[in-house]
Amino acid sequence: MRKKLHKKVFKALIEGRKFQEIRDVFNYYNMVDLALMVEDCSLDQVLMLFKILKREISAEVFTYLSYAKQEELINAFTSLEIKGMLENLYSDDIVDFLEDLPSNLVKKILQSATEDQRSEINLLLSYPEDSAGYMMTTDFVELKLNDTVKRAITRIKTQGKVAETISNCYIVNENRTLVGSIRLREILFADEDEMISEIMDSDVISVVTSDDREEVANVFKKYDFSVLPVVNDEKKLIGIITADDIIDVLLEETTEDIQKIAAITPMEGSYTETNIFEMAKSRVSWLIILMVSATFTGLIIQGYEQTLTLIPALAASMPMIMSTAGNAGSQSSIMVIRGISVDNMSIKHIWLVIFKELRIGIAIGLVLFVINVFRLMIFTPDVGLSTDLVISTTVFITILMANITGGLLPLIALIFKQDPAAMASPLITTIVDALALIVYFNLAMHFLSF
Amino acid sequence: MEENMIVNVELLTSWIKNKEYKNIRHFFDETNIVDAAIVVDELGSDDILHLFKIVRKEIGADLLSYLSSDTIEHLTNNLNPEHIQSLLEELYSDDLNEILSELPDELVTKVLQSATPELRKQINEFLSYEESSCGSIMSVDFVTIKHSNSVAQAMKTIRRQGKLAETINVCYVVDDFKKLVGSVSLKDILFAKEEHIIEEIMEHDIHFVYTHDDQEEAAKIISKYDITSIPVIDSAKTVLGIITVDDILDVVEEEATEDIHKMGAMTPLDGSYVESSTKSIIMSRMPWLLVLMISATFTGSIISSNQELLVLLPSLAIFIPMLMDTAGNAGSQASAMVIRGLVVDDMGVKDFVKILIKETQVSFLLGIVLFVINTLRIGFFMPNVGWGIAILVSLTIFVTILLANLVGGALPLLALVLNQDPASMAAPLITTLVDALSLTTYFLIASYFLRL
Repeated sequence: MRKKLHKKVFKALIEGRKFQEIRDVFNYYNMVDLALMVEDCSLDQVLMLFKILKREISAEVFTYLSYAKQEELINAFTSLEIKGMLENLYSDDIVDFLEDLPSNLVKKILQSATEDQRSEINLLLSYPEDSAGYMMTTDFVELKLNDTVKRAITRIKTQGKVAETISNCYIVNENRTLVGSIRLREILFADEDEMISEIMDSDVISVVTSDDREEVANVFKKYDFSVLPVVNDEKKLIGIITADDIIDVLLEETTEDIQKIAAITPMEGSYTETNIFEMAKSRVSWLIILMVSATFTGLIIQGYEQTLTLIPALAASMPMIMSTAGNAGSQSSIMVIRGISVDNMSIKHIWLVIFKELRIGIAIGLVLFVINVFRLMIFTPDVGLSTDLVISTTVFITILMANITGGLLPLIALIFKQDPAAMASPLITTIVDALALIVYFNLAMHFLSF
Repeated sequence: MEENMIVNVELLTSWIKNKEYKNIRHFFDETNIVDAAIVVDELGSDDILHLFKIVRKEIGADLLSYLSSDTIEHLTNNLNPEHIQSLLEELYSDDLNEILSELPDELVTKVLQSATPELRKQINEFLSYEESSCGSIMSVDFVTIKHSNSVAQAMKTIRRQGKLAETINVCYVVDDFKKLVGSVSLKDILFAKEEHIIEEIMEHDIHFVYTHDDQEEAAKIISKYDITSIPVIDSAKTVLGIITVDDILDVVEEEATEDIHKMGAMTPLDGSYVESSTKSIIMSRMPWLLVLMISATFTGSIISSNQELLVLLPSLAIFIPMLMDTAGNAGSQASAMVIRGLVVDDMGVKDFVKILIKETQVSFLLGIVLFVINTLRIGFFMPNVGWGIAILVSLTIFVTILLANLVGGALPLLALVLNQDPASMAAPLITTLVDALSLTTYFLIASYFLRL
């Protein structure tokens, strides 16, 4: 293998207009890495580059460029150049960059597309953004039920050049209804005059165009597929989805969950690319809601102001009680939220969650009770043992309440058809903070010097 | 069996009891193995042993890959060694490895005893790879082609080796010393002329991982380059295995759960919530709760040492929870964004300054909005507190958000520098830190105001 290509070398080649060497580089190195370098070139340089490279290569580079760069290029392209580009792109890649372009540019592109492509693009754009129809590609290999193996191989050779993958081929009957699937290797290993219908797998699993992409991801995970056919409501085959697209779906869904757990309104785009206004917008609403709702906690403290003045030592343990409550609650809620999204947990597990959290809460609560009594005796020796016991009992009760609240809220969100992830840490923290303080002050009033 | 008939566990049980082998065979031929395994998993313990005796061993092996670990334990305990051996030989190596990693040690020993020497050697190698390393999840069933072969020869090799391989869509090309030099897709071979030499049509610039690399590394490369499989090599560049994209889906999900658990102050838990024992859940939650409880002592001592201030101005205490919550929330927002950026968007220590600048700018925007809302809220709705304290509290919020965002943005990077997982620097740890910062700020500003 050759050495890695250095940015500076690439730049020198471009600036020195070393056409032959540039072509050579693009034949040899990985497109994703090259695209990152093209990203840093000026518009004129990229246009020059696209002129000297083969069309299929420049089309591939184009798909890996940033949206901003793509937009800039489309603006500068002649309609002939756009046409050449479109001919070498998979339909799902075209739709992928179309969605981020301003409408005048989308128009420009659609005008230079061939009739076939235009209807293909329009078809994909007509599906809702998070659906199987939207993310599928229409470039796949389709075999007929009455094909022989020999005929199938010819079909693969003709359709396969433009198909996104040929490792799995799908078989349709005369109504274009999906009836079977077959792997390329099975065709290659079979006798030439065997019938496809005899060697195909007729128990073919598919998704429907209107399925949500999360459902599609679940099917992929369940069956360990690398390709999945997409059918319409009449069971007619119209596209395929490949597993590499599913990785992106999983990453995006996880990011969304993590953002919700951290009280962020889900935001698309990466940290470095998002501007500060977008970012502030995604964070501000929950900060305000939680700030205002924390007033409630403040009011509880205000209500017990007398108790606090009588036993000033109580105030010092407030932060500890509140943060322990919050931590315990977020632990249980996160476990249940993750269980819902990964392991198909649902409302039918409500008793299991309650019993489990009860047992966990008692066990953890006891340990924390003991350790907390010692902690207080060591760090605040001047505070009496009875106060230590009140504080530690509060910790015990708090953990129990926090665990159960944290475990139940995500399930309750499911009942109300809300996203369980939105029920996570911050919201629970506010609720269990309030609960914990009420328990705290009541125990104190009851047992301490009144 | 009729078309589209739903086979449930009762039906399958009755077929096994009545020896209706034709129906059983038909069921396994027509049903996806994952769905079939779900039904088989529910069979009674004798019926399932019986079933394994009557189905073809290919189907038995396929079933093994999808049955629950309890069922597999039951089978390995009760089937005779020769039977187990014949099933194992049918399995792809990565599935076999996955099954073994879930079995208790004494059963692994039993399986090893019934394996052929060749298989034993292979299993032994797998067991030596660290958990969640690329070596531990790779499959050793793949096709290699010599660089000097012609397309026609390559096709022959594929036909010969391909029957056993997990995927033949991409084959890896090696030189005379078995060193990895490139890859070639089946598609390219199919479309090339027979007399072409593989070296001419192969990809030269290919990506690979080492056996000891973390599985996350393989996931990152596969998702970045949109490839369907990646070769796993040793230090001599010999190809030892491949990892395919369907395995990566599981990796991505496992790693996400791990990160989310760490962000929620838990030691990551293997296995699902429903199946995990209460004890293992407690062990994953207890340590951090203890650490954070004890570290909150620090926050408490800040309050104790400012007791006089609280006596002078009792209404200050009302806002302590709100300040602490807001600080914690802001800090966890910032850290969550940065942690995710590190995992997904290739961010790194190099972005340190960029992150600090961005967090400062965002903090000013957020701080101003919260300052205004909070001042109005206290001023109008809590008239007994007074505008002076309203401004004092709001000013603290402004400073707190700035501090919390900077700490939340910087700590994950610090973790990277110290070779720790950034995710463990998330919400709870940051909360404790910024709680202390916010209270200190609060009391500092308050005492300054009082002196005025």
